[in-house]
Amino acid sequence: MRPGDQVAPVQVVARTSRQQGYTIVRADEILGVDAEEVKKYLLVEEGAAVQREKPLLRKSGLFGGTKFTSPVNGILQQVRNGRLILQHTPDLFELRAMMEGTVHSVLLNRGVVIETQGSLIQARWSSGREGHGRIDVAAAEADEALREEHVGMEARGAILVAGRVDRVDVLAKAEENSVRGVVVGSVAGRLVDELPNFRFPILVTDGFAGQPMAAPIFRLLQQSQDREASLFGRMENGRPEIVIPLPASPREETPSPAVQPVEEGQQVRILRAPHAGRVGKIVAVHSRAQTTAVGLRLGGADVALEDGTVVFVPFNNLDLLI
Amino acid sequence: MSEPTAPESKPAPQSGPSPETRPSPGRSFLIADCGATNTTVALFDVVEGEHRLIARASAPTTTTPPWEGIMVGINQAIVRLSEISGRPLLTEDGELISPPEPSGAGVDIFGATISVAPPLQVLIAGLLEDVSVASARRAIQTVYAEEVDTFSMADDRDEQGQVQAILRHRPDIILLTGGTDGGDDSRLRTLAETVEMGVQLLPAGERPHVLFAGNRDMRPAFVSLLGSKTNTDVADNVRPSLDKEMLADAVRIIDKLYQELKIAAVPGIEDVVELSDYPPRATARAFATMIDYFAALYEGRVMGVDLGSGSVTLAMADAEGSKLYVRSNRGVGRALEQVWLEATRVEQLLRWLPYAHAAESVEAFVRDRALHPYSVPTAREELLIEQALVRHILRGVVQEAGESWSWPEGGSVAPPFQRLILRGRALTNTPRPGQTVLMALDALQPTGVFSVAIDRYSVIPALGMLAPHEPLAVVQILEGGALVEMGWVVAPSGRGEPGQNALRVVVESEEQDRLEMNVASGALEVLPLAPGVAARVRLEPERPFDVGAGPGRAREVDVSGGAAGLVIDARGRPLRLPRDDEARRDLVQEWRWALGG
Repeated sequence: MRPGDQVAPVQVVARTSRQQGYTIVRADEILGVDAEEVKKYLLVEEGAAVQREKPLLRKSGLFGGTKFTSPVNGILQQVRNGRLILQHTPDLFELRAMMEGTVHSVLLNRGVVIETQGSLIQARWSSGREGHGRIDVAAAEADEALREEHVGMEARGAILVAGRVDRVDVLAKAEENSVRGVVVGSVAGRLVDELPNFRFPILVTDGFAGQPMAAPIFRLLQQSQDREASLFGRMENGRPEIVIPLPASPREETPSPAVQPVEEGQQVRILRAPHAGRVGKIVAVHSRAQTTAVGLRLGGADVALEDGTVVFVPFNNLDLLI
Repeated sequence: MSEPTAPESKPAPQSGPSPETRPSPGRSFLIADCGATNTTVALFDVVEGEHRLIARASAPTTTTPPWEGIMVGINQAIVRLSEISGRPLLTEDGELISPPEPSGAGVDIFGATISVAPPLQVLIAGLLEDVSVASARRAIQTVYAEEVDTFSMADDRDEQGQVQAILRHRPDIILLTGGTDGGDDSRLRTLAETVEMGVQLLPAGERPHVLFAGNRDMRPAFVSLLGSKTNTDVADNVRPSLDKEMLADAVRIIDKLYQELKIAAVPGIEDVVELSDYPPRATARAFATMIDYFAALYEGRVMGVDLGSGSVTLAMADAEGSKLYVRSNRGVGRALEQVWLEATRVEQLLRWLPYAHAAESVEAFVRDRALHPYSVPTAREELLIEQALVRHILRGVVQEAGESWSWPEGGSVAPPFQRLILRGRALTNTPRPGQTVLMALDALQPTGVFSVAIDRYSVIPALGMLAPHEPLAVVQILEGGALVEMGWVVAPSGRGEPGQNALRVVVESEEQDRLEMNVASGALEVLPLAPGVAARVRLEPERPFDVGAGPGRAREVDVSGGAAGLVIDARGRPLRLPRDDEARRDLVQEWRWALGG
């Protein structure tokens, strides 16, 4: 690939062979000889290919001698200290673009950087894996659970969006019907350990306490119905992401990342009880610490919720929606 | 066996808080502590001839996308610090103003402590599980490290299994140890050959660093075997003989490797290094330096507990030496998910709650909390679960450390100490000070008579960084009230019959009325003693209770008041919680009320 190349989600952008492991054969013990003598009995040269059940060592003797066949397919990588180190045949790994875009740059021996224009949603948690497909908002409301009727044959190839998941059997049926991914507001905590077993990524936007999907995220996904989207579920270094590329949209400069100061008018999501998951607007920022309902003194802001109620929320419990 | 000693330098004894120790022209210090979740910056300067904490501020740590640069969070915290203190610290371009300008803007010295770096992945290859492997484990417990695998003579894997383990784990370092100095080295040689085989199968550039700390007679063979294959280091044998442990040299090298392999890989750390007057230090080691410092200052044993978002640090120091236990993947932030996965019985967590909670709702909370590591409880139920988590996590780590440090009764009983220093927001930022003390007592289950102070302003790592360079400034900052005094605790050892009197306490002070109280066995009581009020306390225990002078023997101690008062904990050790759910919840609630709710 070269910078400027257009890529599609399924397109292979890099290939590599992936090491599959080694088998160590104690040739000196098998032959009953000193380590330095092993090479004399080799039927294959170092660096040459070996085949499973094909002869590898032979030592003649009065009673028929000793024969040893290779336990694996691969390469005789080294002979050292009387041992044969057999490298298993490597696996071919193909790295796919996973999203529509343009190659921005090539990272030697690592991959490529792909640039696209569109929407980016940061989720809270994921089961891992990556996927792409057509967005299908299965639930009518942001608190509606993913149900059996959402995951039928017509869901094939889709990224299903719902308020929450509370049944593993529904996900199993989704897998049977080749669903490409699931995005929900929350997942029941008891299910979490089972989710990485599914072949498609499951992204959670809000949490594990039965929260609905935050209204702005649900609206954005509804507006993206039937668009192609990519799910990136890796969590080791940051949040999982949902990328929804927009075709031929005018290029916009991405603002340089900064820690956003909290200001009046910003849209926020509340992270902790008693208003966890609710979305509102900041109407006042307190310059002095306030006493919370549990008695902690903390800095924070007044947030007007969608029903008009104004509540004080510590800065730590606010998530800015940009 | 001799005590393992950490190679921390102790403050000179003369650096105690005497009036003679006044500084030469004072310099100002700006020290950042970059934790897994938050970055805190603290500004220290001279006020009326003494160094003082001027202000501190925090911002989220920014080592992950979209920032991927630690300086973003440090600068943001400095901006907030400038707003709070009214002192400009950055230029319009965001550069730190140093040296200070005549207007007062800027600082003299900048430094940083780091705990955001991921733990060092260590594979221990040793011989005897209870000897060389145990000592190696104690050595790696002094840094943020994770033991990814262990080879020992008890390992039933063959050579191929061990080689595959090296290839699978790809550890940062392999700590190779075993054998006594001058002893037979044939088994260690075989182990070294296995390690070498695994190491050389990895691509150059991805090979682990190998540290040899075994039989010193094998050093030449080790260097000849592995020296050309990967980066190696040689340390003193951690067990030169069966009855002697010597960790200092290995600990020094492991700390160096943590700096080189982990701290140096933190995104944006090069900007911090360029700005810093001192090399960045691991927060745990800066914390341990201060515990050493307090031990020298108070001429007694001091225990320190730092409950972080992604790690827990325990440090203990006395005249004999110091010990440090750093437990990675434990804490009240992202590490919570790991805590939950490894909690074999959810009852262990639920037992600390004063109300009935469904295990499922607690699980939902814990997993949710791990997603928002910086968030704070704003509902009573969540506060209670969070404090139960603090007890559960700390108790687990204390027991691990106690076992590693060979405390009595299988590691469950801590030796008496004179002062307890607590750090970490979930532990120290509580609605009432009694909640902090109660969490510490439940988790540590200490005995003796000791004072408790908390690092509410999160300055101990900064002071630990300054201590070796500016000991007088550190003394003055502490004198100026950088720590918040919680008060004193009397926790007699021994267990009596129900209803039996445990001890009589008499408090006499020139500043308040005489107080006298009989404390029953199993009770938890608080006597009011306002912050700063000095008092003489006479403790008259009944047999078998012991307050440090022997069972049933009276003792007098000079104490001073604090935010939580004078706490008498006669509940016995180890704590016994009733099996009956309702009785247990009532008792947990009773203890909460005893310490102020």
